[in-house]
Amino acid sequence: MSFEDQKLINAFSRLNNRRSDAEDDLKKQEREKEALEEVSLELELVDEDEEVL
Amino acid sequence: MSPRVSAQEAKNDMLIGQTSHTEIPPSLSFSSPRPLRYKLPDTFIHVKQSDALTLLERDTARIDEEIERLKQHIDESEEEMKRLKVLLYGKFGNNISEWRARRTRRDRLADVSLARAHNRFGEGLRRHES
Repeated sequence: MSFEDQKLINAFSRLNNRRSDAEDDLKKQEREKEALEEVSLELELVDEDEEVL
Repeated sequence: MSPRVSAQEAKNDMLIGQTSHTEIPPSLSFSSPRPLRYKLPDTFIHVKQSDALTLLERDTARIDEEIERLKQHIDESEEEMKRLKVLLYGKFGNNISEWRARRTRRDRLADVSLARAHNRFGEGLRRHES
């Protein structure tokens, strides 16, 4: 296998790792967003001037 | 882990940097001239409903932005992987998996790091196909 081929493979591997990290992060952020949406619904039910957490 | 932590260590753990006034809505700003930001991972604070709304809107906007950024990042990675895959299949055809096994055996002792990169490639390639 040539050096060039190895570089291609390494590049692919690096991209794959990066994609995989980004996907993990994305899942985390989407869970967080769902939580925020729930909070948003809850907030609409809260009386004005009342302290909320 | 020792239960005893010096004040300095605790400070080092908690203090992650200064914040700028722009990150905090003016109504929530602290009076200190140099506000310090402490990391509070699972903590609740009492705020007025209007402030809660402000914080919520800010967090939602930030997360939407982050999600958009990550999706774009993933798309770009996949686009480039597709391109590389075409090149690699062009060179190695369907011998890739066979070659992978042979290569791994041969390099088990000689070049562990190369074999590792290679395994990751094989994994990624299979994942990419599914």
